[in-house]
Amino acid sequence: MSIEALLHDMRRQLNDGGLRACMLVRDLHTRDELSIDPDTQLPSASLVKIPLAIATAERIRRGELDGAALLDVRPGRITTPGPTGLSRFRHPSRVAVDDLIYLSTCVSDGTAADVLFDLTPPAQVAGILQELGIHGITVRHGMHELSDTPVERFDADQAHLAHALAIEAGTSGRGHRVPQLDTTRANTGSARSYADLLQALWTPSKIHPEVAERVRGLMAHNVLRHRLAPDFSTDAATWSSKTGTLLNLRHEIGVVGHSDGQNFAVAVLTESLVPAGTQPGADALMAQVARRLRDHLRQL
Amino acid sequence: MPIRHRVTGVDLVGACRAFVSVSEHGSFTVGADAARMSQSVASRRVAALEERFGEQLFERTSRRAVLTSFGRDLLPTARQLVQAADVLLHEAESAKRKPWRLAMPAVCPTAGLARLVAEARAHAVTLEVRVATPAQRQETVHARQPVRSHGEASGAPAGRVHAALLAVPPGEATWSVPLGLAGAQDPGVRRLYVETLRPGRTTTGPAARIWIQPEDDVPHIRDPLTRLRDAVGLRPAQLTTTNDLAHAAAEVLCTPDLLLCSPAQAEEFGLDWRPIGEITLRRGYALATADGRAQHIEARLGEALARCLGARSGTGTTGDATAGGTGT
Repeated sequence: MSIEALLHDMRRQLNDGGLRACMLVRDLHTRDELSIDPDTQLPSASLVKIPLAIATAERIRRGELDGAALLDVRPGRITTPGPTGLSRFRHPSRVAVDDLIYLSTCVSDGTAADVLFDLTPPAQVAGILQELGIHGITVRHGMHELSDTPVERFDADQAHLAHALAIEAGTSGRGHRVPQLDTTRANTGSARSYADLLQALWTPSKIHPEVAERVRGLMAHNVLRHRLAPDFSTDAATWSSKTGTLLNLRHEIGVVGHSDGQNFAVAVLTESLVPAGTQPGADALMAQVARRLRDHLRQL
Repeated sequence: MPIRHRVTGVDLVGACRAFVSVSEHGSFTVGADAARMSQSVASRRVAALEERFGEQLFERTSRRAVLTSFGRDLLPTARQLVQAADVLLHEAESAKRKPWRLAMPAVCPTAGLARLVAEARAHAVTLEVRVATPAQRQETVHARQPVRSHGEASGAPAGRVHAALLAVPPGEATWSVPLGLAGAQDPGVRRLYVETLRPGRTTTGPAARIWIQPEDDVPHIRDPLTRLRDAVGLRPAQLTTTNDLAHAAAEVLCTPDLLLCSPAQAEEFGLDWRPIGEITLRRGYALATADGRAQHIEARLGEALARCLGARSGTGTTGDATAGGTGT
């Protein structure tokens, strides 16, 4: 099958599944890549926790922050589906900065991330990304803003209305009436910019090796493995990743490392056109298409 | 035949007819004959008229019937009355014969439509049936736009319709027909849950689709099914609206796809029909007329229309249960 025919078939598959997908698969050694709409900007959702982890780890390395320092954390007490960890805690706790990075990155804990954003505000995270030569990813706000979307205002049996709003209320130029989905106000990135970020973490770059290794380790221990992991992880391959989920957005960026040393960066950012909250089919379809793309690239 | 418009016991039109005919022929015998009544009837009617007016219309002196001056004064008006009555009777006859155009759903089989037209004729209604989509039926009866008839060249107007069977939610329907899913294979179960069409994680190949035919492309059927599709995690493409029923039925005949249809339609296509597990869907129909005489027509043709639709009269009744159980 030619690459054109393959990509055409994949677009049809995604379209049938109600997904608008931006994806890029790159061989981190040869830098060969295959992609579908890789330059479209989308809100990052929880993917922003990777830049946050890099910035925090970099500041610990520079001695600006103490990884062992214990911080008082107010419980999140969120009861709607989705949030994890401290976000669901009911009582105050004291957690070290290092462990907050773990909770934020591996468990996608929004409350942990916001405590880190208090230490390193969004503008400073963006500044560190610039210093490290990572472009195309904007960091404008913390995680708290993501927990006040229309879906929080509807009862669970009407959540589909919030999703219908997320799908329909877009404006021209990738603006949106829901601020969290407006690419001019939200944290954003494209499949390409996140693949570049993975490239910088897995291959020599301006990111200090110590920091890169630490973030890679955190991503290897990501506990959210329902999306792309089932199609990429085996005993012969490791899958290190971060997911991002918000309203109709489903993202995952990660690296599949083969025992022969080959590494492929996989960045999949999607918007669903189906007004439903739980869509196991969408997760499975993202993984299936990403896997076909990677398989084809590997065998070229 | 005579219009019995009795005013104080006198058949005014019949009496005037006798009066006019006798005066025109100058004889009770010939005049009565010309008006196709016996002489005694003619005499009695003229006498009744004279009694009603309290004045003689004919001189009774000669053998010939000669008008009195009172009779001469009344003759032109009596003649007008008789002519007007004749016109009225003629109009009534031709109005009864004028075809009454009715827009019907395209899902009714031709044989059913033929029986409907035949039954209507027995009720002295000349029906002319047009088949159209729900949107066309709505437009033509309300906006008085021409409806495009099935089988006519595209774009050729078929004239406006006098009435249409509109697709309405079952709660507002006079007749309703159950909808279910029909497939080529006997599923070996009593009902079909839409959720079972969701592809499993390890499933490869195309996922089975549900086809919605043009008759069911209306909000009260399409939208609940779409919401159900999203809620149970089917892919969007698994619910397909088609404007070509034959194509959809062909797909259903040679794939695991399912057609949303009535039990009668399933039988027509030779498919196995089952009710939907999650929700109950019905086609609802109500008669709408351009002149607001819906009840009048319903009283005469209600039974025939129900048979043609494969429904029973009354809200919420189940229709022709050719294929067993209905949804709960």
